[in-house]
Amino acid sequence: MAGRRVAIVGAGMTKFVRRALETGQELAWEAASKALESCEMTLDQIDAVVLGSAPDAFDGVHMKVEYLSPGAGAWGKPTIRGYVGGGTGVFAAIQGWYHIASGMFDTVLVVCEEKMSSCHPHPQAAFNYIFDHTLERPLGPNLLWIFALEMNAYMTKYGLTKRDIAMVAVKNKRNAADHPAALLGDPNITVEDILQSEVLAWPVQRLDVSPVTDGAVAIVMAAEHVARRVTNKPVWVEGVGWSLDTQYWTNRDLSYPTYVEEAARKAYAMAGIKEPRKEIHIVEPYDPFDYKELHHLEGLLLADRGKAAELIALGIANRDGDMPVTPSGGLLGVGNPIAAAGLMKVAEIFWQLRGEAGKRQVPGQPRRGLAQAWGDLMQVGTVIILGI
Amino acid sequence: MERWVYPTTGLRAEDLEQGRVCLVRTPMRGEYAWDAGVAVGRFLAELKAGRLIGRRCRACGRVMVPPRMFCEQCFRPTDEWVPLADTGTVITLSVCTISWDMRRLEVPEVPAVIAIDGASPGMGIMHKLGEIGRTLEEILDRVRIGMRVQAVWKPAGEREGAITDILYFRPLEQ
Amino acid sequence: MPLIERIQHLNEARAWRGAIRLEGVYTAGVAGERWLRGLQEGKIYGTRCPRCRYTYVPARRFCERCLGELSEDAWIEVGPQGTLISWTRVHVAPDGAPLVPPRTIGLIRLDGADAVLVHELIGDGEWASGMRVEAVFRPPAERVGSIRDLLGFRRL
Repeated sequence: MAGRRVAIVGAGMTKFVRRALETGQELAWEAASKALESCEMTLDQIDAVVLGSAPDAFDGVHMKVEYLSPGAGAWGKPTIRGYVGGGTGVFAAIQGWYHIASGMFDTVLVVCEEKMSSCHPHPQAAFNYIFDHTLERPLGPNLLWIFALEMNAYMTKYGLTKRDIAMVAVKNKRNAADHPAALLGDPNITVEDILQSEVLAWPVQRLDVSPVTDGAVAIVMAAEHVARRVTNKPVWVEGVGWSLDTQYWTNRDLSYPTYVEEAARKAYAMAGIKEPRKEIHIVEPYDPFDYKELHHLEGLLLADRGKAAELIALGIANRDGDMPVTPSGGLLGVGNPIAAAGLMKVAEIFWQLRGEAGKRQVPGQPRRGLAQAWGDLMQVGTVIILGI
Repeated sequence: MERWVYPTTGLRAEDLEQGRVCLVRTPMRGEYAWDAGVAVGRFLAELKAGRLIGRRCRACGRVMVPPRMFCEQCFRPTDEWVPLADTGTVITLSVCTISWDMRRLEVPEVPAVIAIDGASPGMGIMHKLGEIGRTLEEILDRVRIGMRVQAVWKPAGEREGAITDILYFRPLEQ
Repeated sequence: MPLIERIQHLNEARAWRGAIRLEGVYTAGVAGERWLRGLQEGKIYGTRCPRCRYTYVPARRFCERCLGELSEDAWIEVGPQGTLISWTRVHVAPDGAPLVPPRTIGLIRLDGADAVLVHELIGDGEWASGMRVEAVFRPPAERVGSIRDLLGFRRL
């Protein structure tokens, strides 16, 4: 383990909603103030702020993080923005970790916000500008293309069916029914509902995709001597890792996320984990699309290649299974305010390990969990391992 | 943890449409002229001439398309231009029934990643497939990963040095 | 071979033209909604943080200095008179074209506020920091709940 020990000591979040009356600043404040309240800390006890948010185009505000900063408690404090697309939510927690592990700060407030509903005609339009301006945009692409192309490559390589993959959406949307912040929880949803939903970009159908969402999440991180004073249940950062693949996405093997494996191996090495399938008790892999959860479980080495769907089919990934996967309900169920969704996964592991997840609590007193996010042009993996 | 979830105010679409809340609309209209650059500039010029071209790195041996003047793996300049065929193999494809702003398309589009013959294995470019039907069912029946395809070019006089000088790729086999 | 190849003909150098076309549709937020409704009624509100002794205009629902909530009893009316802190005359439109007549923009600290508000200055002649000014509202029937319900500030 590099540097000083770092713990998460508090977490808070907004409800995830389709369109918020709140401005982005107000969403950031709602989450940040709840996180501070949860550990009975005040802003003057915070040394530095890490802010995460995805493309400026969503909120329609350039220098978005500077705009958000008042609501995130950044007034007069050292503040940094982390941005690796969809990977941002977990990366912001990693930045919080190295701010403290380095010895530079004792306490950091990490805030991730996204207000996607401001972007018209549709938030998806903002994603058009991730494609190469000369060779790809003239073809009139949309974001779903790259997901659909990746999903098809994955399904075809391993002979998976749409039904195999739809079970992920069912599990997560059912899990989300027990999350008080969830936008799309549904305890009664079935595989047939997913398979009968509108085709958007085959093989992607509407219920394979996480919804457009507004929301914010915040956590408080502290060095060991502060953490032990603040709480009797600190949740330690045991390992972190991140890695980026080439931007030339059409030159990659789309059926396997090598960059997630590289990030996971770094995190496992730091945490001293040799057998991740035995030593990781809860997983929150990034699930903006149902197939992505499977893809990421394989990249995280928690399932053999092409075999992650079996964990879902056999119930191993259920909340009461041997390796609960996405007990929060994930992006598919709780919602997907991009950067905030990744940090929501970190917060879920925090609450689960403290035994505070309420109706979602995984049985058996889990001691170690992993949250992972993914983003940029389908090329970044960010991984954090937490333990008690 | 319920206590640490803020009761955020969700609005319905009608709240906005019917003016129940104050709204400000700001159009963002940025016009850009992106330099094509050295490698892609040459690639576009070759497209105008009806040819595909790649770039070789002698250190790793890869022939890359889209071409670049540097190898991002070896982190050194690439060495030479390599003419490529206008045929290839579909690495993956989708049948997209909606537009970029989420409106339904009458005829689905079929985006694909196509590995170009003459480039290293797995070196694909994004383009579209054509001559494969007009409905989702028809298209799914006629396309598959691994199928061989060939570029269908615009007539020479209409080409402008753009990726759209290739109209689409069509199946080479039945 | 060098990284950069020499361009032999001018027409080899080319740019690809494109545009980013999006529209931002913004809600005013919990505090902003109430603040704009206040303007609609011809009132300018601020919120005062009792702990930091600072009054925000436009009103906010939290204090950025202590992150404390600024709830019901923090809302106070400020202005409509105030002091001009700084001003500028703008002769060029955002697209670079001449702006005729020019616009005059001021920073105004409303009486009772700490934060300053940016808005139009109405009236010819010279302006000076320290001048006393007063808010000018649109007629009530024309107000819609917008920063433009306030036409600007004129000399007292």
